Amino acid sequence: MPQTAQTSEAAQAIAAAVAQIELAVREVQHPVEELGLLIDQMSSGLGVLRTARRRSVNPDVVAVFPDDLDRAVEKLQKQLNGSITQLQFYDRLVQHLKHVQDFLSGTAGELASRSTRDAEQADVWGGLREKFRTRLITQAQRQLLDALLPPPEGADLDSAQARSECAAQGSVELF
Amino acid sequence: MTRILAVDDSPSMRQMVGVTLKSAGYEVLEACDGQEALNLAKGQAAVDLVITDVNMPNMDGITLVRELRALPHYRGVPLLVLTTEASAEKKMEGKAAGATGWVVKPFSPDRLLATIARIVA
Repeated sequence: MPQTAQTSEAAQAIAAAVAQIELAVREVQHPVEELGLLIDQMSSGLGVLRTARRRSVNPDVVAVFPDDLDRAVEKLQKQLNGSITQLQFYDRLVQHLKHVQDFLSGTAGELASRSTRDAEQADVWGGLREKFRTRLITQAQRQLLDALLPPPEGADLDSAQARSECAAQGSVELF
Repeated sequence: MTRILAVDDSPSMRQMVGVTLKSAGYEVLEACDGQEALNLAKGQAAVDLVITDVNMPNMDGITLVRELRALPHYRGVPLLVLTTEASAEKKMEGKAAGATGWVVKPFSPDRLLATIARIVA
């Protein structure tokens, strides 16, 4: 197969992969919105339970002598908080995939235009790679890219930095 | 009632922040990017705290912090950054822009609420 035909096929394959990623993200969007709504409703329900309890019993008494209902409400609140934390990984996944999609789209576009011209533009690939790298949101994602698609000057793979970033999840720092 | 402006381009993140804040009795305003938040602020929307993401279309969170700090009625308002970015460089950038604090996603509702209570007290 001539070089230009191969390039064109590669561009089409990448474009097809991009469309599949887009579909996968779109398909899961509604269920996740529903999940968020359910969490919202459960949170409101817990609020109603607490308010009702406060109406019948002095809150100071509840704080010192919680009964089974109080303990169940607190346990549910902890579980709900855990759900809120875990659901945020969906947001991270969507962001990550969006950046991958944009990178692939740029690559497919470049390949498609190359199939109709011969000019060498190595800097275009570097530019696409750098734009993708900048938009990635974690050090682990950037290091994976560096390992598989190293920059011309070579990759500086510091796994300690990625580990430290992972440990920083949920951290709070006031200035 | 304490009013908080939550800024994030992700609807699910805005929802999770909103659920967390409302469960603690805060009133929540939402904006889907820095530009919308800035428009709300310039429209004299009075808030007690702003919680903003960093990576957003139209206007990113660091620029939003800088722009809000330039508004006379937002000089004293705490501006909390809530982001996946954990690098020291980005944090310093946020601090230099005028951010009050930096929380790394995924946030824990308990910790976020404790931090907010400390800031708005």
